[in-house]
Amino acid sequence: MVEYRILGYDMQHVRAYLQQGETIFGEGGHVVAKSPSVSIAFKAQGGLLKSLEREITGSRFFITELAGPGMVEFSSFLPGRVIQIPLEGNGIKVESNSFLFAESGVQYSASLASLGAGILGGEGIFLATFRGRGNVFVHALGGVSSYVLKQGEEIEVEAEHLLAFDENMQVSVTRLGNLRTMILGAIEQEGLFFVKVTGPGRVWVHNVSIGQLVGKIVRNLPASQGPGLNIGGFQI
Amino acid sequence: MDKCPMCGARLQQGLNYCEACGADITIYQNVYNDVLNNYSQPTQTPGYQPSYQAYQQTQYQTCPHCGAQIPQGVQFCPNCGKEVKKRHFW
Repeated sequence: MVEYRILGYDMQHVRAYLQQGETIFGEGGHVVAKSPSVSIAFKAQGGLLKSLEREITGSRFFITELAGPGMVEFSSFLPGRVIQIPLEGNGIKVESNSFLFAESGVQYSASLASLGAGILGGEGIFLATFRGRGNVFVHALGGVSSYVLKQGEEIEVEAEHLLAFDENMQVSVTRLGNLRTMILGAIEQEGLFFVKVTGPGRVWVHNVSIGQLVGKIVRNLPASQGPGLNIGGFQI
Repeated sequence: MDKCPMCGARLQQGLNYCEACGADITIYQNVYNDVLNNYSQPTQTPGYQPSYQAYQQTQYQTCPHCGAQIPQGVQFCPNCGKEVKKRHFW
């Protein structure tokens, strides 16, 4: 049994202690530190086709596989919380950028859960699916909000903020409103699409979305480096 | 429960929600059981009532990965969690 320690308060990171013969696999770019005895291999888990599916849906072709014995530490690129989701034969869908690592009993595949959601929701709504037995660790940007929905209960989550939800839940995309609302919404940097998730099940939500963060940063860039057309110091 | 099942934060005594993530922890177990039940029952058409006989006639197959006896037609092996037959989204 792998031992985990979720450390930190506002910027959480997770340390896993592997025994001899235990392996975990993770998304590339999240390993911070490891014992010298831990070996890293890059594998196209699930075969060529599964890997291609992952690549198409915004995730990675190769998966980092770490084999014990020793310690591995994972972190994300923004402050936020690490969430441990144990799977007991059930499945969850996770926005693929947020995946940290999972135990070897878990199968990682990609899905176009809802074609409308994938195309309209923009970044990150291509979902990674995890099924099997074992723990999955995901990272919530900024912090996590979560909802436990009863049978038939519904919630609308702004598309970029959606982090994870149970595989059996129904998902559909709703627009913000009519055209005028949507244009004003875009100006006000409100999300344009909401994902409606229907219970029963659990929903995890990011408190920060990369899209909104980038939007705010871009506004504060020096004019010459910002997006758009620069005419004599004035930016359009 | 001393830790939030959704986010892992420590729960405050006497509150029915998690102070870190806002999850309603009183209904958590019921909802989680509902989710797990979706996997234990084979998918059926609505209105179809499984009889005891139908239950008896459950066919078994062998998992190609771990060799366990598993019900016919399941997508994932309940024992090792691996996909019995690979399925792609196209």
